[in-house]
Amino acid sequence: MNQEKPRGKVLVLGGGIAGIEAAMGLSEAGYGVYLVERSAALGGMMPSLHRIYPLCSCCKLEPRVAACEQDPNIQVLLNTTVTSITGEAGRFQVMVKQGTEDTALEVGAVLIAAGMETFDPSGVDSYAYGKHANVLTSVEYEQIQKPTGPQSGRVKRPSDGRPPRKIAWLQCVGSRDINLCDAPYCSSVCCMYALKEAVNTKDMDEEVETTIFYMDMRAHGKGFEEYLNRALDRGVRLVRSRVHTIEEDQDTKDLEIVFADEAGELQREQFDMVVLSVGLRPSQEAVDLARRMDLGITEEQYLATLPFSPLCTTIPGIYVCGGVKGPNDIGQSVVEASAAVAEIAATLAPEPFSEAPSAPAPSSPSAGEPAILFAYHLCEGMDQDLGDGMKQYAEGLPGVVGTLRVDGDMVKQISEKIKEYGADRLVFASCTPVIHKNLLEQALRAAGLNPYLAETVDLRALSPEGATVQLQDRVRMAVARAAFLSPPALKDVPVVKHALVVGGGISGMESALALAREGYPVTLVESEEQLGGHGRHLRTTWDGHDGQAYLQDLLSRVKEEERITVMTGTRVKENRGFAGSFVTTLDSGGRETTLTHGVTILATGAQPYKPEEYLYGSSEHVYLWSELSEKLIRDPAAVYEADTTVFIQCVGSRGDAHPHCSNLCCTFAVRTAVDLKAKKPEMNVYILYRDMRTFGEREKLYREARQKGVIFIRYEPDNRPQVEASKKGTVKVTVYEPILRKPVVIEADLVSLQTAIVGTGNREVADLFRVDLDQQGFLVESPEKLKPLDTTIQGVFMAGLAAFPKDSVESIAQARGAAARALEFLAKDSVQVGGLKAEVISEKCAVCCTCVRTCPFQVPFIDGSRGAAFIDPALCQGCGMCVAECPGKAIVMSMCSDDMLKGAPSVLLDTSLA
Amino acid sequence: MIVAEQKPIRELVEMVKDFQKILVLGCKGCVTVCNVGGAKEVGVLASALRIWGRKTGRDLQVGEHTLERQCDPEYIEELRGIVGEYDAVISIACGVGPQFVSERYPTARVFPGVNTKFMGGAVAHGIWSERCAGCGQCVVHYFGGLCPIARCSKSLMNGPCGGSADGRCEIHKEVECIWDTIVRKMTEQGRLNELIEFKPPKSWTTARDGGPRSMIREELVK
Repeated sequence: MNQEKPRGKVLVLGGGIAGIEAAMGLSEAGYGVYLVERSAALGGMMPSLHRIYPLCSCCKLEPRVAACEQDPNIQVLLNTTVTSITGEAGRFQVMVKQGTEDTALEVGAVLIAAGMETFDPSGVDSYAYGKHANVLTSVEYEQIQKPTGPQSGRVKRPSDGRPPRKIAWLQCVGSRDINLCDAPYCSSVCCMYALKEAVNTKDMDEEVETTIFYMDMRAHGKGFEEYLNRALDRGVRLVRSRVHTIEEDQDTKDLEIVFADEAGELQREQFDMVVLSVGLRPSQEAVDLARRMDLGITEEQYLATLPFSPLCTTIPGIYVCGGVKGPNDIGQSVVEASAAVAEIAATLAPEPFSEAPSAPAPSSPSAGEPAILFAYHLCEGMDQDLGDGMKQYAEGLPGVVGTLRVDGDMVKQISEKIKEYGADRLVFASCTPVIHKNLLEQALRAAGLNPYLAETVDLRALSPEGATVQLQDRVRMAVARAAFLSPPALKDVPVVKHALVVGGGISGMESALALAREGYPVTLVESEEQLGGHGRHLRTTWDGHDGQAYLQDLLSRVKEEERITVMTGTRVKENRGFAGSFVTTLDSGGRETTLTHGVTILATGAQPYKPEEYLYGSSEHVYLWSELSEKLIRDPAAVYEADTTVFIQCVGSRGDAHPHCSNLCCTFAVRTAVDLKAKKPEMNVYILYRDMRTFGEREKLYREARQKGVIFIRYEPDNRPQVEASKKGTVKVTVYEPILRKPVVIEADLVSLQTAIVGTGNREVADLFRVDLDQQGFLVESPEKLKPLDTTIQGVFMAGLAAFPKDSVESIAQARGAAARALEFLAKDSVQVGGLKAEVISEKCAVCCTCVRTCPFQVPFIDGSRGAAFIDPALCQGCGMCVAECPGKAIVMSMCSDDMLKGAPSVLLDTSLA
Repeated sequence: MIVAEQKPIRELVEMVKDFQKILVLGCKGCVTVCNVGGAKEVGVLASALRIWGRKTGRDLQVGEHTLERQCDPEYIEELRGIVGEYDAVISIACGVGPQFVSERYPTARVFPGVNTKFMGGAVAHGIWSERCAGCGQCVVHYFGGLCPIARCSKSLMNGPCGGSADGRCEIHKEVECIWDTIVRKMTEQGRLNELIEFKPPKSWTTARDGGPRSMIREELVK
């Protein structure tokens, strides 16, 4: 199969986060990449943002830009546009224009990651943008919020430079609007960024009143609902109303917003400033190019993709990811970029520009006094004096030979300074330094040092009182610890070219296929007796493609793929090891198998919350949504007998037990309602909801449902619908209608409960693989941030519902993305292990078995040939228990030695113990 | 191995309270393996003494040293030039250690840091159990490989006695009745009839009852 693939390079169109991420992934997989960006710099939309929710990761962009610029396999072409693409998959000729110069590039595949633009509200009279001085777009507002921006982060009114005391955000400007803006879809990201802007405003000045005027608050992503709740706790005010008019006071330039409140009364309120939450548009350049090439385009003007292949355009060999294929947030764009790499790898063999350079072998630090480089990185918005103070203080500490403020390319700057100062150790200070761990290791390697000779200082969580003293203590302590570091042994361990995928639902099978088609053997483990997971009750995708036909096709592809070993009725019993070389024990009904594998993908799914409310379980008329979907697949006629169907949203979601939004339930309800109406127009269909979260292009279904006569009734969480058995043998649903302002009673033949999707089943597997779960039981992404497919453990990736509720198409993208991340790993021949690892000094070992007995991971054993205990560095987890327990002091951890533990506190407390 | 446990720190400080320079002396043999007298415990005890010294305003100097074994004179020799530097030595080897040190360095004040418990093994990490009473005439093969001398409260050769209930010994419910186990095991092996045969009283002359013991192997003695 592999031999048939043509070889080629790849052109990535668009240098935003999606393009950057894809280029890096492709380069890692061995491709030469042309990264074409029409502006003068890489980064796209991200540099204009002020912080990112729910966790800021702005600082992760610069290192990526730098990595692209330095990668010999990525040619960055700035100020460049693509004028035409001709040829076919495997052999494209792309004409690019840089200034007046045209160049032809030969590539095997093209990835369009051209991103999005924001809606320009100038043409819409009612927003008075450009007319009233104090009306800004959200992008402009973020710019002035940025500490590095034109106003140094001090928000002022354009009219008079006065700091605003009262700010309003207007949602859906250029979204969900067919009258004025010609954008029927929801832009998906604006609710969250408005909340973020409001919270950031509060961070600067708690007294500023922040009000968001909205239609539905769409916090449908991982951690979003929790962010929304925190924003409300901070006093961000939400008003459910679409604002029609903004009037300006001629003298004060204050703005008056005229709106209808929820009771339908007309209200007028004064604001100092109004921020328009502008929606997204696909990159016009890319859409024009697509039109010229006859690439499929959706009715919303985004690039169209194939059903169940969310990264493939209508032309083979041309792929798409990020905001140009639909309104996406950053996380989703990164996921898609990885998935696009897997798609490209499936059809094109890599052709690099050059072989990757190898780092010099690490040298040992000189025997003399330690020479420490103190480097620090300040986030924008951090007090600059903080850096100066730290630098000055560090310069006076023993062992420090130089200091460096890192700004931009971390790897290059640090490695150069290490060489310049002849340093042999590094102390690095930043906000949450763990997120830069990989880069620091790279920098040390590039400088020819052991990558573990670094200590870090966290600039977070300094209390305002005594911050200087605290910071000095931390810096002094880190420098002292660094001096005690001795380089740990490094060992190259061959990567086992085999993958384990846990979970045989759609995500698991898609991941397994993506890995297998690259030639790697895959073991696919499913605890149930058959594959399919929740796919078995997937009737259609949100855009109406047949779920069961897809599932059957997927199952047969898995069955036919000889590289996939399917093990159903099998659970993971034990896992040990390290990225590149895991050892997993599988239990198939009592029969145990041991598998060695280089990577793991966890696609263990999620479970629907089983409600006790709404007569579930006691009335045959009340279904879980998954049951209704299944019924529509197996016995649709029975469903169509119903004269009245009621969908109840947010059952168990967005409450105390499960605070998160389950993302796909609104779309499911609307999709099903539309289909019921299409088949049986006389059926009464009601959807009882809190916020309709038909985000992105799914909004068109919501519109279609209303057009077809589906009735939407909004309820408040403290006044939920009541479901009771009816005398007629059906059920009676009572709900308070906020527009009529009275309860209405619906006699329903069928009630579908859209219940929360919870991760309660992931605990066991998460513990076995030592990965973290969030409070809802979903897998947590890597602390490095902006790595939405990586778990907290290296070499273990996640896909599907186990990560967070999402629909099947997003799951497919995520599964292929996770496979691409895994492929990057499998492509390596060896991994270097070392660092925080326990090591036995054989001469001191009394072979007492204490380490053998205390290790929670069963790693140490008594090696007869050594006459001592042996701890495999590739398997050691670095917990340190054996080091502490060894009665002969025969086990050491050079990154955390006794000398360091004893010596550093003395430095901290400025005492010297005898 | 010989299993020991550390003496309470109060008892130890009472022993050495009049000394200023103290050497804590560990052993890499049995007491390291039973987590009571190796290099780690030397460090822990030495630290505890230093803390005590500071708390009580003493100007203590505590040294740390661990010998390969304290039951062989060659290793004890290693302390020449060291012992003289100290006012007291706390040996945390089994009872053999402090005696060997005392014999070799007649002027030294040597204190035992541990209580030697028994000859036994680790049944799990942190749990040790007696297996051998050193009776000088091993009989375990008569009893399914289990020793009633060390493990029966009465050292019965013909058991069990009337104090056996539910596999437990009458002296304490925590104590296994080894005779119960012996009977079960012999039954499993189909050798119960061997237990019917009367075992004559054991001669204790080879045990401690015969007085202090020593052993000479002529072929090894020069």
